[in-house]
Amino acid sequence: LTVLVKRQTICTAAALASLLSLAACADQTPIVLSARFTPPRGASWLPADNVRAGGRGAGSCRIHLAEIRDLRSDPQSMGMLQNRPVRATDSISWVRSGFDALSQDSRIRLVDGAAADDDLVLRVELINAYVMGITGETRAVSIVLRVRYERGGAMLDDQVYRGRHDALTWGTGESETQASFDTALAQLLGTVDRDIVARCGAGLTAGAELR
Amino acid sequence: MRSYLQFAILLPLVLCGACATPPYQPLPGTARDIISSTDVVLPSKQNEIYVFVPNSNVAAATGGGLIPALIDAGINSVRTSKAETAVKPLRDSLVDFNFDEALGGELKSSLSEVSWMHVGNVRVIKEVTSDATDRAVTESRAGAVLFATPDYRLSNDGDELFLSVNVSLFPNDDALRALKGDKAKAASSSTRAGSKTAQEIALYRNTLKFKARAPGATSDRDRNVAAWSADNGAAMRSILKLGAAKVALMLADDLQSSPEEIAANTKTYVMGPGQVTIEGITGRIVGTDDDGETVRLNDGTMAFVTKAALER
Repeated sequence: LTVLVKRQTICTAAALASLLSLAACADQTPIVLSARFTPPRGASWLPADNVRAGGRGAGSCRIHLAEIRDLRSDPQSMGMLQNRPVRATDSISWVRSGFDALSQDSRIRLVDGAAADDDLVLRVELINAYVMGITGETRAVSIVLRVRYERGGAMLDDQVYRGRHDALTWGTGESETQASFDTALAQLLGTVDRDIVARCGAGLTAGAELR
Repeated sequence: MRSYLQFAILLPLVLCGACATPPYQPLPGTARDIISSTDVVLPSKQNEIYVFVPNSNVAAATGGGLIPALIDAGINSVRTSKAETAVKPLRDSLVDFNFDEALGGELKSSLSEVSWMHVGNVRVIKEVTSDATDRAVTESRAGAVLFATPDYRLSNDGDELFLSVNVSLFPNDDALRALKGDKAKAASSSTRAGSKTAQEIALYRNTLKFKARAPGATSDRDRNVAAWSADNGAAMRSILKLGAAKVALMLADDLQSSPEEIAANTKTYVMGPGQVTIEGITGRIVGTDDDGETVRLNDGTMAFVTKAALER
C-alpha cells in the first residue's frame, strides 16, 4: 500500500510539473524593472579606498550630469526572458540613480544647477539595455552607455561603456533579473568612476584648483 | 498507474505538438489579386549578436534526477559565461550597427518589387508576445500584415554566422480572411491573445536562412571572433548586410512562385545533381550567384549559403 501511495504521489507530482512547465511556457506576464538602481550587495563596484573615506581631495571632482537620453527604438523594452517581456518603468531614472550613486566615491561630488567652468560635464546616452536567455536556465544582461565628457563648454572626449552580468535563473526571474541589471550597471559605473577621476585629475593638473 | 504517469508526461508534448505547423506554406495564387496593401512588421527581441550555447544533456543521458539536473545547470552557466565573454569584442565593434534597420530596409526594397503586395509601412517591435503581434495587426490599416522575425547568431565555435527569418503573412481584411475560412473570420473579432496571428490562419509561411563562414575560420572561438571584429567589425557588418539582402530576395522570389514552382517546392527531393544538406535537411540548389548558392530544402524552407560556408 505504501508503495502504491508513493507511486501515486510521484505521478501526481509529475503531472503537476508537466502542466506547470506548459503553463510557464505560455506565461507572458511582463517582468517590470524598478526605476531605482540598487548597488549589488557584496560586490565592490567602486574603489574601496575611496568609498565614504572623506580623506584628502574629498569631493574635489565636481560632476555635472547634464543629460541622459535613451536612444533605443523602444525605451520600455529591456529584452525577453523565458518568453516573458522585460520592461523598464523609467530607464532614464534608473540610469540617473546609478550615476547619483557615484557620489559614494568620496572624490566625486555631484552638483546641480548651472555648471561652473571647471566642472566636468557628463552627457549620457543609453545605447542598449537588455536581458536574453542563452540556455533554458541561464540569462545574460548587457548595458551599453556612451558618456560624453565636457569642460568649460568644450568637448573633451566620449567613451562607450559596457556592463554585463550572466547567471542561472532559479525562480520566476523577477528579482533575479532586477539584480542582474543592477549588477551590470554597477560594473559599468565602476569603469565610469575611474574615468571621471582620471579626467578630473587631468583637469586639475592643467591648473584648476581643488574646490 | 504507469499509463497515468505516461499520460501526465506526454500531455504537454501532445498539446505542443498539436500546435506545430509545417514550416512552409505557399501563398494561395488568388491572394495576389486581392491584397490591397501590406504592412511589414519585424518582431525582433534580439538586440545584439550572440554565440549559440548548446544545452548540457547530462540529465537526459542519465535518465533524469536532481543531481544530473544541477550538473546541467552548472555546465550551462559556465558555457554561457564563456560565450558572453568571447562575443564581447564583436559586440563592441558593432555598437553603432542596427541589424533591424538593415533587414527592414532590405525587405522594403525587395518587397516593393512585388507590385501586387503594395508594401506600405515597415516597423520594428522589440516586445515579441502574442499580444504585441496581435496589436500590430489591429493597428495596421493594411489589408495584410507580414511578420518577419529574425534571429542571428554565431555558432558555438564562432566560425559560422547563422541568420534565420521566420515569415508569416496574416489577413487583415474580409476578402483575405475569406481565403482562410471560419477560423480567420472568428479571429478578426476575437480578443484572445494570439488569435489574430495564430499560425493556422497565416496566408503564407516560410523560414529563410543564411549561412556564412568567418574569414580564415578556425576551431578557435576567440580567433574567429577577432576575425569578425577586426576593423570595427567590417567582416560582420558586411556579412549581416549580405544576409539581410539575400533573405529579402529569397522572400520576394518565393512569394512570386508559379503554381508549378510551388508544386516542385513542396516535393521531397531525394538524391540527384545539385543535392545539398544544410543542418541535417536535404535540399537542392535552385540558384547560384557570385556570393553563393540558394537552396530549397525538403521541408520547403529556403537557405542561402555563401561559397566559403558551402566548401566546409
